[in-house]
Amino acid sequence: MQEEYEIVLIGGSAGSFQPIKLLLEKLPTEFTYSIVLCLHRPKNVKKGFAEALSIGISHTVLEPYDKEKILQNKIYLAPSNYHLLIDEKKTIHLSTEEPVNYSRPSIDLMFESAAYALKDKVVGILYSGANQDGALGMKKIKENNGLTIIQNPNESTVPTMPKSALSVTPIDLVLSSKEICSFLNSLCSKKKKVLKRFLL
Amino acid sequence: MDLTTLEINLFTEFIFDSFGYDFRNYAIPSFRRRLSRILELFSLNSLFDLKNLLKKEKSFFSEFLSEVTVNVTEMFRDPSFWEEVYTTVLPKISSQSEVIKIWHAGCSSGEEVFSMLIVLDKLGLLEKTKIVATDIDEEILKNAKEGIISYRNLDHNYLNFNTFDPDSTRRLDYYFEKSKKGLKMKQEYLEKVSFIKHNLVSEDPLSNFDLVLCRNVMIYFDEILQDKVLQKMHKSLYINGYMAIGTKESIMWSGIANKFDVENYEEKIYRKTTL
Ligand SMILES: C[S@@+](CC[C@H](N)C(=O)[O-])C[C@H]1O[C@@H](n2cnc3c(N)ncnc32)[C@H](O)[C@@H]1O
Repeated sequence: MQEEYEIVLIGGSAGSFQPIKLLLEKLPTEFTYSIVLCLHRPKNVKKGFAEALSIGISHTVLEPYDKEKILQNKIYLAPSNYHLLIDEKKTIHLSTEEPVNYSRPSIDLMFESAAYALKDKVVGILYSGANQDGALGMKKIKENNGLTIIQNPNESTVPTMPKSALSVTPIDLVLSSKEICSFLNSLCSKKKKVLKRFLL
Repeated sequence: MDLTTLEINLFTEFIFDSFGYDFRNYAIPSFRRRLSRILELFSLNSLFDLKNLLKKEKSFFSEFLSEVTVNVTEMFRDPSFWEEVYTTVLPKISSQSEVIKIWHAGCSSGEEVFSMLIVLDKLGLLEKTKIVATDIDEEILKNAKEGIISYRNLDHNYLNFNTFDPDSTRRLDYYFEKSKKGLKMKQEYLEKVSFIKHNLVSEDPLSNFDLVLCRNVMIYFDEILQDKVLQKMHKSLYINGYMAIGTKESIMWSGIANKFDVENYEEKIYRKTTL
């Protein structure tokens, strides 16, 4: 396993809002990677979701435009009703194609595109949720030598999603939501030692 | 296995050489998905097999074209956009032109056009309006001409319509009649529209419009092609004409950005100010 991860992809569905909110609150002001969130939400909850995530954190959660470049130290949220794909240049591509796993945005599509394009630069984290979206995407991340993390199913409000991932692919780290916070903090270059502890 | 970018590029070259359709500047990540889906759909193992099938059966190409494009659409997609068209854009155009000319570029199965017809009807502007709706995909244009919304897609269309116009006197049903396959838009509305096959990438733009809509079409293109198509949109408009793109698209990185004023940033509506 390497330590030069550049992008952290986070998927979540039912029961994931609280732990992800906590994660964003605990982020250091400066982090050396980018974060892209793909969260399921009711179709007509369109506006206000990014804002709700931004409350009380030092970053603004951005809903990117098509062809927007992903920058370091920024947090992006897949817009509702669009799939979000990522290419080699870390450019975002949006698509309105059919829902996958009844979901648009689909976590699988985001994970798969990034795994293909950015290989071992990717960290994938899957939180609580009631369906199987994200499981096959985690498998792709693993196959491309990225790092796979799930929220501990015992702690997840709805464990179906992290459990489905466990059933299709090896998972590098099964962590509580608090541990995920410390892990992301340790990803910042200055704290490599802590990161090593996690990866042992 | 994932299709590599190299394989995809060789394949689009082949399509261009053999059929004259230019997908060479389509955005790779979404195009990769479309191609993988086609391989799965027709139980093919590789792009090589797909190539052979296309060579052997010339009639297969239109099916291929239909599958490689993304046709997903809905009526009143982004209700707040349609509110803006209703309250601002159409009234302004109406006050500055005798005849209102509208182009839907990439109209897919027509839901965006049906929405426009309804909005025009509400404003009493149908009589003075001409609509052209185009798409590259002949198969999907057939659906658009029929004006049918399948019963299984009704729910979210109703939901969008009700968000756009919560206290409408004319409900959505007013504009449609029941048919076997779904709700069919009444002929008196449909006949206001010419549905034409047109390729935005390789053909000259149509011209002399007051409003062009090209929504959720350019997201499937790379930046270079987006810029090229935006130039065409610009060219197709009268001065002071309006351009609408998808609400998650941007003209920021295009050369034409400074030839438009922003009419509504949220809804991505622009007004042509410079030739
Ligand atoms: C996702 S649909 C958009 C439908 C509608 N405008 C909307 O926003 O709901 C995209 C459409 O663009 C069409 N398209 C793709 N490439 C095109 C091209 N080169 N010229 C014209 N239409 C094209 C596709 O066939 C498809 O029907």
